[in-house]
Amino acid sequence: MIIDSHVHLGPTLLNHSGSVEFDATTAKATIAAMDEAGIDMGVSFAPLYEGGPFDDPDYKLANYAIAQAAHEFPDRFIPYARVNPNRKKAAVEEYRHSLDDLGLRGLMLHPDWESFYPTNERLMWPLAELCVEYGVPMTFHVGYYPKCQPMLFIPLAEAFPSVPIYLKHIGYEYWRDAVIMAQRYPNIYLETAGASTSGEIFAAIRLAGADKVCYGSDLPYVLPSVVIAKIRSLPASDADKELVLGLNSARINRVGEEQKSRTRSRQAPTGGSVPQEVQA
Amino acid sequence: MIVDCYTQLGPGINAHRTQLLQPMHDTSTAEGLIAVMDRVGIDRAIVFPPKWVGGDLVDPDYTQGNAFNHQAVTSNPKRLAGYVRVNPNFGAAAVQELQRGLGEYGFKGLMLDPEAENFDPGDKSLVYPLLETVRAAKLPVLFHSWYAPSEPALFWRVADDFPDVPIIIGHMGGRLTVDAALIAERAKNIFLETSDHMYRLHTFAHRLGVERILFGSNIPFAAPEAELFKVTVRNQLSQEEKDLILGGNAVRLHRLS
Repeated sequence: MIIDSHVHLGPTLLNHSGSVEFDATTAKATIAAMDEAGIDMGVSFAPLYEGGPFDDPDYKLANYAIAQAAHEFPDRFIPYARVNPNRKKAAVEEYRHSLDDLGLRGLMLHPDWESFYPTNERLMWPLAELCVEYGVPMTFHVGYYPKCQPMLFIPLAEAFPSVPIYLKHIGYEYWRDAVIMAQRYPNIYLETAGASTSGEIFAAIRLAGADKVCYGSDLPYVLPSVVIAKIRSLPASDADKELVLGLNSARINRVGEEQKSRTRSRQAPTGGSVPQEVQA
Repeated sequence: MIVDCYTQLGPGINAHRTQLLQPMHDTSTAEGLIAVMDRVGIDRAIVFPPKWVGGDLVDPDYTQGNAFNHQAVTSNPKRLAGYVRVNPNFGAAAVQELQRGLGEYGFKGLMLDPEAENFDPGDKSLVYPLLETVRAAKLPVLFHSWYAPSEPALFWRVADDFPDVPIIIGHMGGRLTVDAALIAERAKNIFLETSDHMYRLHTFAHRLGVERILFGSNIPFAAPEAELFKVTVRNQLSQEEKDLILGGNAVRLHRLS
């Protein structure tokens, strides 16, 4: 089973000034790309918000689109919410709405893009407490100074030991630091998305253990088949590669288990809408 | 013909086995490297000594690594070609080693790593004499490009000052591919080498001209199957364009026969 733990999709991709590798504005287009790469499921969340035709700085439209895709294709997506923590109470409300009404099952945050520190308890703890309440993971873009380096996740990992936390991109230039976090904290996982090199992925598996590394691609910005090829080509055991490619994320996201939380993922999402021209 | 423009060969690889970033293949000998090339279908590899990281072999100036590779290339002339690697911090001795490599050894270019050796690529006293030497030989220089002080911006002035020297930015600048492309658009003697590159190869190939992209694998520190796949998977590139990236450009640039 292959689970891609880093899938961006939704109509707000139309806002992007940068290039993507293929169309992922709709669930159908995204699934076509997943099928081509042999991906069974994708952990899906909103792309970063950039100004444009869709005015959606709070990710309300984006979260709704994620929910709609997962409702339409429940066997293909593990939908996460995305919020801007700087919106404080509104961000917590949007996340609770995502869990309660939209049936989303995790939280994706980007400290660099949204500009906040993962050490900011005032912003972060209320969101993490909801993750505890609903038994769902968090996933973070990790990398550049000053807001995303792996060590900034120490307080969060210690305060919320029951919440699985993915460190995306294996921490990019701080991949050695990310490995240290995964070695020290049982709830910290490394995710291979984007420009992680095959050498870095190999080092992460060797140093942190195959049960702490999860395949992710960052589609549609990156070709998922390329990231899968990097993992498949490593001099690691087939059993370890299966863990990395999907079994770890299946465990972390409790794929196949009845959701213990109050989420109602089989119901149609409520409380949002996607503009008509996008639905067409 | 598939030519790999970025492979690391020699006994210096052994000391990397205790590093955090370990080699995936044994390229301490030519036989080890050629076995990997045969497995993935690489016809010819440009080799240089790996970064010196201590161990039993004391070779901070790469004189032993270059001599070893001379033997390896001489024994396998159809499969390997050499680049001279020097540490510019050795000053005049580095220039001498480069002259030996391009003359006596018959190597096809110069490899420099500002990140490993910690020097400024634009250093006029340490680096420019080396570039004068490759200019006289009409051969290219390949720079490792990833973290400071090897980010693409630092090669801009160098490229302007040596407009007739082909300057190859390794790894397409690492995670700074867009930086590398912006500079390469403005300095036409810059080439980009693909190993461990990030994304959208076709975009950069078409922006700069496909003749300025050179395939490399970074064997033994990356999976060459994946690095080859990153080129062949591109349906936005024609077969002719892929052939140029995978080998045609390298043959022309290095006058390989």
